[in-house]
Amino acid sequence: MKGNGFVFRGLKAVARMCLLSWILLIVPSANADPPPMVIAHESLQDDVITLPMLRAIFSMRLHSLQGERLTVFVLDTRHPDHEAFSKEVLGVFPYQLQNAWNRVIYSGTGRGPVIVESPQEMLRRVGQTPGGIGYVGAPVDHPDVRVISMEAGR
Amino acid sequence: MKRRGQGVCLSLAVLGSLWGAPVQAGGPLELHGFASQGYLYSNGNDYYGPSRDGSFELTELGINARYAVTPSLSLAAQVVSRRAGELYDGDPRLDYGFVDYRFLDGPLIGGVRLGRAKIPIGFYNETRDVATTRPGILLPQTVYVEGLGVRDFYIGADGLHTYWQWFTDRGLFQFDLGVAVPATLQEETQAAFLRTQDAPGDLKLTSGQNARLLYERDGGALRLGATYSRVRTEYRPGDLTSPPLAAGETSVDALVLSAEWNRERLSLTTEGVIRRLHPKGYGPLTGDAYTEAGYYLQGTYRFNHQWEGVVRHEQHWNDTRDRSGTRQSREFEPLPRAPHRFYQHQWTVGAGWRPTPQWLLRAEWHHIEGTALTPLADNPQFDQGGGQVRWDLFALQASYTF
Repeated sequence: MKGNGFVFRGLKAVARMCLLSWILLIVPSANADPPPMVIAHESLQDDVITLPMLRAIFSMRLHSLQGERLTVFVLDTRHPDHEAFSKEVLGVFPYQLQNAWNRVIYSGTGRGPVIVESPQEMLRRVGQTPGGIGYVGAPVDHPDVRVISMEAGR
Repeated sequence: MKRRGQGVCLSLAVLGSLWGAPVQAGGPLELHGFASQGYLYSNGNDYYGPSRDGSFELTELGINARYAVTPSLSLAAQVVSRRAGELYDGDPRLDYGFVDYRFLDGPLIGGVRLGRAKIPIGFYNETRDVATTRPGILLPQTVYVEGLGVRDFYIGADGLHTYWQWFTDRGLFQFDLGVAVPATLQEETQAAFLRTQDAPGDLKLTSGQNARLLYERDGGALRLGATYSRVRTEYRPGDLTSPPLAAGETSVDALVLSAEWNRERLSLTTEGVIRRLHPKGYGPLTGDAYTEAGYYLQGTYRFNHQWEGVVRHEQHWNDTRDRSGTRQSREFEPLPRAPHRFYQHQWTVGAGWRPTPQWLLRAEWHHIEGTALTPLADNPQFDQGGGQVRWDLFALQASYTF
């Protein structure tokens, strides 16, 4: 009987470990922060954009906007801001964006996004690049960058 | 063998020299590439080289450049070296090379590509040689044919390609239409198509068209596709007085239907194909049209950002009116082929690990019944009625993309 108790204690410990790893790996972390904001170089005229167009831009399907060649900036796909932007703003999962980029890059039908190291670099590069578009997690105050809002009724 | 080695070396040299090229990210010129190496181990039959003893003969290398001349005009090209057992020897080839003119860019996109472009068939054909874009090491062969000799057309067609994309609140609609110009097919394609290694003369693509309609809802949560392709080929044996195979022509009409459902962890994918082939000529034996068909069901589960698992079931029949292959095997009297040459069903279980976004390591196991989609070039015993009906294939692959 003593042996059995030992076995069950062991099983309970394994079950707890499984639950813990389930929580760590599977359950998405709760994110109380507001979703990232879309930012663009001031050369892009519109302050408002629709969700389908935003998806078209960040999946690298659209090459230009208002005659200006677009340059899309993103953070490393493992960065929490990238995941938040992808899921909460675009409504797609990061792996779907990555798949869309791979499809255009390796079929020659489009370009890949420019991957930047940090939100600070994102802000700087978008501000320097006519036709640049990206996102930041915190409110911005940068002379060459405008915040783009999503058109209501999505 | 020597030529093979040189081909791969040349590609490596090109890759290496461009590696450090000063390309400013976000500038008009963009460079990307990929490299992958596979290992295959099997029992019963060979797949991509002598895999019964272990084979490293699956190597894929590629480099591409895209240059934006103006916002609406771009040039794009990719060179690929693919070594795949006895089927492909690794000689670098121009995978695509075209001028892309986009006359509409906005909620409605419209454009044309002139030159050699990838043919969109189903979900994966445009990037079929790029390991990281595939759902496993090997693509489901019933849809993404390799042994069937229209692969030349499938991997890249010279001609005019138009594309349309329409972004709406109800989803994305995409339409691609490609028209190929006549071309002489590669020797290895000819061998696969005529199902014999030593037919002299030329196999020509006389006409080829492909149309795909794709719909994506909610940013790709649901993806639906339909592809129709029409290929006509013609074989001329040359000036021989008694060629082993008489002149002939073949029409191939294929319909591929695709559906995919994507959640954060889980993706379910299915594609099916109906391919009608009509050979005429080639001697007294051939003549009747027949219909090939197949499908696969696939589930991918992402455990976290790095690990994923995949399970796939696939079925394929060379002739839907003879699913067991018995009638087709007798057609080769007095040297009948084994009936398993005319169907192939398989289960695949695999795992993938992406330690970084650039690297992907994969392992997968296939339990296979039949050999219809197994390369004849790797298994000459098939032509003597040999081969094993039930067999297993284990594969490993490392791939790097940039």
